[in-house]
This record gives sequence, C-alpha cells and structure tokens, in this order.
Amino acid sequence: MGQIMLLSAASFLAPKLLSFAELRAESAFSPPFDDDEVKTLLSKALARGGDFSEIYFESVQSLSLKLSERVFSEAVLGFSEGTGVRTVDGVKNGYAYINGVDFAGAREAAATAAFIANSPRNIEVAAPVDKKAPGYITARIPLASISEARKMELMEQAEQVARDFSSHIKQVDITYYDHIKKRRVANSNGLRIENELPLIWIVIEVLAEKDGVRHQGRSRISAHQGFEFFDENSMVDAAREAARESVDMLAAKAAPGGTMPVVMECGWGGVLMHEAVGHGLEGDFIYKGTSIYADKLGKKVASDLITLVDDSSWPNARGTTEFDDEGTPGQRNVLIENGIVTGFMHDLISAGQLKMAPTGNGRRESFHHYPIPRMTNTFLDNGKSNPADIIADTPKGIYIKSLSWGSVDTISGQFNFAVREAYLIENGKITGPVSGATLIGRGIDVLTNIDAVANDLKLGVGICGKDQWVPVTSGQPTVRIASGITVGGSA
Amino acid sequence: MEQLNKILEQCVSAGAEMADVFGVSRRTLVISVRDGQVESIKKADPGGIGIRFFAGGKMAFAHSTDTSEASINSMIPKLSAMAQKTEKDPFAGMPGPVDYPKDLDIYDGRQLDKPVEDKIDYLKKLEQLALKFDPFISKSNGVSYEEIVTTRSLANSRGVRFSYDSTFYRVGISVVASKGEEMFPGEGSMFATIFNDMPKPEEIVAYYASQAVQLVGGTPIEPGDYEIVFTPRSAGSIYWGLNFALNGDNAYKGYSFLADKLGKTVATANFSVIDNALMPRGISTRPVDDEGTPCQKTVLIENGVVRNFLYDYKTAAKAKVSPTGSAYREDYGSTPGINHSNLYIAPGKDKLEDVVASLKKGIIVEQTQGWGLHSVTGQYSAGINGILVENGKKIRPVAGVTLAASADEILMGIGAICDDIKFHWDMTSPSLMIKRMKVGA
Repeated sequence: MGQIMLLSAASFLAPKLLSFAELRAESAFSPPFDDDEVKTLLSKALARGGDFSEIYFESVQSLSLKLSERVFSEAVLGFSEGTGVRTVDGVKNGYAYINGVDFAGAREAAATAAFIANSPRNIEVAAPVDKKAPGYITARIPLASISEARKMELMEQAEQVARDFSSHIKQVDITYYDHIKKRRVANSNGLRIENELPLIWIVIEVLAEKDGVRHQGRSRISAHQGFEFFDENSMVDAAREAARESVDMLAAKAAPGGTMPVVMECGWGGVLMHEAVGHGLEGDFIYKGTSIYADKLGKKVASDLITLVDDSSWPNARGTTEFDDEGTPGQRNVLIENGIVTGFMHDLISAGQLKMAPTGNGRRESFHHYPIPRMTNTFLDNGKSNPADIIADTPKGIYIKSLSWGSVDTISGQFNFAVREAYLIENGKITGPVSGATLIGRGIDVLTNIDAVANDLKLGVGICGKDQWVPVTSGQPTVRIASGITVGGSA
Repeated sequence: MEQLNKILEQCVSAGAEMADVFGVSRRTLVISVRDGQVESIKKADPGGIGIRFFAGGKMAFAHSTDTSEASINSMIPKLSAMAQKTEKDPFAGMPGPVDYPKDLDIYDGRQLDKPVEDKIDYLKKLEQLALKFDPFISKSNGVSYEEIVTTRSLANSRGVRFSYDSTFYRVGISVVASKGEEMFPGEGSMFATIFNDMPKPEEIVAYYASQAVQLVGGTPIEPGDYEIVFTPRSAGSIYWGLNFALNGDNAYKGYSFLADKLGKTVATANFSVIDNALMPRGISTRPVDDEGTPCQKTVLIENGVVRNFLYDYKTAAKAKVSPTGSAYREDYGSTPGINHSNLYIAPGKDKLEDVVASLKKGIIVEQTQGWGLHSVTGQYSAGINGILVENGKKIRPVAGVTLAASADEILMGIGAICDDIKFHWDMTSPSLMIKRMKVGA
C-alpha cells in the first residue's frame, strides 16, 4: 500500500485511543414507551377504526470502513433511531414516523396514521403480552467488542492477497459494514416482541485490466452473526475469489446468442429462482391478482424436481429475521413442493386478504417504511444429481458461475439477468470464458424446463429491492435449465 | 443554520483542521390509490445531520438522526478518535465561499398547501382515465403521488454557509393490459419540481398505458442484425451506462469504458451529452452541490468527442481538473460522492415518424430489461420488448428477444437523433436510431 501502508495495523492500536467499539457500547438504546403510552398510541391510531394498529421502534448503530486505492479513506459511524405508527384497515396502510422516541411526536404520527381508516368501530387495544424471539440468530462474540483495528487488519490482509494475485489487478475496493439493529414491535392485538440483530456485510471488488480489456470481479460475504463469523468465513478467501474472477474473465470471448441449455452453478445463481419465481409468490401480488401464480395454489407449475423454500429461520443467514417487522416469528415455508404450489409469502395484510396464516415475510427496510411481503432466505432445495455429472451430460451449452443482478416484471413474468462469469460447455466439458451475456425468459418456462438438480445446495448473499431494500440470501444446488432461457450475447 | 455553525465550532475546538456539517430535513407525503380506494398514506418529517471531521489530513464521518445537544456532544470526541484511525488522504479538501446562482425556481409551495383530499381526487381521476384508455387495459396496479420538500444546509470550516429549499413531485401509474392468460405492464413515474410542469393526467396515462397496449401479445422474431430505434422510454438503457462511465471517480479509477477517452471521438458528430444543474425548474436543478461548490452546466460529450467528466472536489484534485459541482449526498448519512444533475442526450432535428418510415428491417424498442450499456466493459446487453418494422410499416409486437452490441457499434452507428426530448425525468433522451444491433432469440 505504498507509503501510506507504513501506517501498519500496529499503529492503530495506540493504547491511549478508545476503540470505536468501546465508544459505541457507551450509548445505550433509548428506553421504550411505557405500557400506558403504548396503549395511548395504539388507541389513537384506531380513532377512525381499522383492523389493527402497530408501533415499530428501531435503533441502528452502524460502522462502515472503506479501503480504496490502497487507503483507508473512510470510517463512518452511524446512528439512526425512529418510531413508526401504522393503522391497517383492510388492505389500506396509514403510516407516519418520527425520528427518535418522542411521545408527543409519536402521538401526532398516530393521528396521521389513523386518517387512512374510515370504519368507526370500537376496537379495544389488548393488553400487551411479551413474546420471546426464537433465537435463530446468535452472537457469541459481540461485534462491538472487536476493535476497529482488528477489522481493518482483516481488510488489509484481504487487499494484499487480491493485489498479489496477478499483475493485471488494477484496483481493489473493500467495504466492511456492520451494524446492530434493535427492533421493538407492539400492536393492538396485544403482541409485543423485541430483539437485537447483528449484521456483517463485506463487499470486495477487484478490477483487472489487460490490453484495454476490463473486468470487475466481485465477492460478498455476510451473515447475521457475531464476530465468530470469521472463524468459518474468510475475507482473504473472498478477495482471492474476486481477483481470480477478474483475471480469468480477461480472456473472455463474446457470449453466444440464442436459446441453449444453461447450467447454473450452486449458490447465488439462486437469484434466478428469486426473481423468476419468488417475487411472483409474494402475497401482495397474489391478492391483487397481478402475479401469474395468483390462481395456481395446489396446481403443478414445475417439474417434479422443483421444491422451492423460503426459510427465515435458517441459523444466522443474511435473510434470517428471528421475527419479521410485524412481529411474526420466522419459519420455513415450502412454496413449491415437487412441482406443486403449496404456499405464498405473506405479511399480515396479504394473509388476512387470502384467509391464510401469516408466514413471517412482512419486512421493511427501516422505520421509514411500512412492511410488505418480502423474501428472506429463498432457495431451490437439493436434488439427487451429482454436479459433475450434469456438466458431463450436457453436449453444448453455457455454464453460469455467477450473475451480477437480475430483475423481474411480476406482471408479465419476464425476467432478465446480467451474467458476470460464464463459460461455454462443449462436449460435456467446461471450456473458455464468455462475457457480455444477458439471460432472459419467463419464470414459468424455467420451472418446467429444469431437468437436473444436484445435491450441492449453497446460499449466496445479496440485497433485494422492491420499493425498499432488504438483506436476503438466494440459493440453489447446481441445476440445468434445458430450454426456456435465451442467452443474449453478440457472438 | 445556527445549529450547524455551533457544531462546526465544536469540531474545530476538538482539533479538526477542516470540517463540514451537512443537514437535511424533509417533509414527505406519499399517497397511493388502487381500484378507486386509497391504499396507503405515508407522512413524515425525516432528517438528520452528517459531520465530516479532518484531523491530520485524516477523515472520519458520523451521522445521526438525533441532533440534540447531548447527542452531538457525545459524537464529537468519537469523531476525533476515529479520524486518527483512517489514513491521510492527500487530496482531501473543501471549497471556500463564493456566490451561488439564484432564482432557479425550484420551490413550489402552492401545491404543498392543497388539502390531502384534493390529491386523493387527482389520483382517483388519473386511475379512471388509465382504465378507460383502451379495451386491453384490464386492471390497475395502483397510481401514486409523492411530494417532498427538502432543506439542504451546509457549514464548512472554510466559510461556506448555505441553506436552500426545493420541492419534488412524482406521479406514478401502473396498469395491466391482458390478452388471454398473458398480462403486460404499463408503468412508470413522471417528476416535476414545480407541480404545474407535471404533464396533464391524460398525457401521463397515454405515455405509460400505450406501452402496455402496444406490447401485449408480443412474440420473438428471427435473430440477426436489425436497425434499432430507442424511444425516450427505452433510451435509458444507453444513458444509465453513460452516466456511470462519465462519473469522474469511475473514470479516474478505470471503472469506465471512457476512462482514457478524454478529447477522443467516441460517437457520431451529432451526439452530445450534457449535465445541466442550472436548468430552470429542472428536476435535479440546484444552486450548489453538497460540498459547497457552485453548480454549473457541463458538456460531457460534444459532437461525439469526450470533453469532461463529472467531479466532486476531491476527485477533481486527483485528476487535476476543476470540480463540476457534482458532489452529491443521497441523504444526511452519506459521505459526498459524484452524481449527475439534469443529464441528457442533446436532441436533434429528426422526426420519429420519418425515422420509423425510413426503417427497412428494424425494431422500435419500447422497453428494456437488464442493464443495457455496461459502464465498465462498454458492452450493451438487454432483453427487449418492442415493435417490428418492415419497409417503414409497423408489423407486430416483439417480445422474448435480446439485443447486444459494443458501445462503439452503438455510439459510432447513430443514424438519427430525434427532437422529441421531454424533461420529466432527471436523466432523459430523445429517440435515437442505431444503424445495426444484434438481436438474439
């Protein structure tokens, strides 16, 4: 890291300095409203009627460290705290929020939220019963107990490994982010629940360049977990992987165009299922009738090989919630079982509209938003094939190692993905890298055309946007989609 | 402003040789209506402050929703401790005070003062118009209205002080056209700083609903080379990538296919890209950027030649050029980065009808999925929906095909630039005709 690198990790450990960790630990979370205040707010929010009212409190303390162009250019300490009050009347949401926990402000918010309803009824606010969070997320070593110096040291090691990987590496950008989010939900039905979630999120981007050809490799690791996350996950390995991708892809030829078999490597490729199928199974699109799966419950939509699961109880995963942002505990929901639609993902409103049980999928980005049905950890479950056999059994096709991102139009079912790393399959063997491809198709066609599912399920970490951003994982074993996907390349 | 001044003084007493305090406060209202019913109302006054603190050339940043004296008092020592842990940035700096452009007309208080009921009625009428637009339109997926009043304020240790208000209005529509089992969306939003500039409901409906109606029942076509027309709706797949490629930070680091193209010809002579923060009543018009540099009009590509990139203060110092007033903070909690203001591809003189009539074998692209032009590699790749044109005649809707080309093939192959630009978005373009792109199916 040149001159600046001489400020090695040791100099960050000067004893007279308080670490940020200690500093962060000082500021306690604000006290909640007392029982009477909660009751007053919930009643006020129901002044014009409605089905229920809810108070959501959130407090987030975050740390972000950025290593770019060989310099620790940024250290950001964040604090955000706020309270949202919501009134729900049928499918209608009235929502207002304030910074902090000021009672007078929250009362005004409750009055604003109440405005949505117009069904004067006498609704009693039930006495609160404290519910215990299920404990899917653990933090043996609290994030705040680790010094920033240690976090920076891990970043430096990773940076060096990426730089040393090849002389073609031109840039390495590493962002380390962690936060501790405290949530409290109370509603007029007497539910009250709270917890504290740690989150670690690391993004490594590596740019390689050779003779004017550029490729940016990327790897990301993340979990809701304490610092023991790094016992089993390594920033160095992630950096090496991003560097490998950036260098390997420099030799890429233009991707072919047309319809061909697609073999998708296990892991983040599951974002294909997330976009192509998952969004269409979210309860709001179902009750509004704007999903092609709206009338498909109990019907066969996919080959027998397909079992699709959304599991918000997966221990410590990035999409795990403990309980969703309406207080419904996380659970494993089977959405498609052996090709048959068996369930949808609900928040309280969509569950109520369809007279089904809530599934713990009511999520929000922050107190700036009211919750809507969202995915958590969504994956295609294991099949029986061996991944190597699937490749060997494919005479000609494309092997997708990673996708950058994708999107879907839930109305038409059309999806698209930008491919980041891909190879040709020729005579059952993976051959040269190809670049510049987009995958397009319709979700329902993919489901019926998957003809091989391996036994190597892996989750990949990411972020999903649907008006609001939430952390998710998408996963799958290695699969082959025999047809139904068009590869848009220029060769 | 007084509060920001006070915090700034506290930073200086705590040892900051350079600091700035940035505050954002907003007042927001979002209403959505579906099937004639109000579906949601959301109202809030979010805001907070962000402090950049430099000691020994090293920077730390903190942000908070809590601007109480106690909270700030506890934050400053943390910043001072944090700044000792980052590394010295030789390019760190901040602008000094100058006069900023005035009278940009970016605040419309009259619309804000209207009662909520009027805004709900507006949406109900908009939705009815959309449902009546065409027999193919089978359902509404909701219409929405958003208003935001923002106050942005900054105090820095070189003497910059500013605070200004602006308004922002959005009207969104989402309808579905159906034919048999198949559904097709027509959706999008239009924006305005002064609500009177918002197109009439009929125009908004026609713009988005027509898309759904035109495209329903689309099928793939023979793969091969086609003449391609991007309408203002689909040209985003080109200017999104250009925007990132023209970002000075990306260019400096090499994350841009235009990185080493300054002064070089990258497009046909009729092609120019402009970023104009001073456009009166523009969606992203502003007098001063979020670090205190006055805003300006910047010509990025002029007659096919790359003339400039967008810069904040620090990246300009690194690249040894002048900042373009492009420092942007998404919110109080973001450190400044580079962002466009009103960015557009300059309109030409061609008429869209004439261009379509001139096509031998072409596609009018109405909708794209996917990234489009990739700002690092310069490869264009997207899924598209559109209309097939043969010998100047519209034949049928097209769906389920991909489009690919290199930036060079696109930008050096521009056959026509139309006059139909509209400034209802903060990035926009007229219709463009590209002589040859590859369609895959």
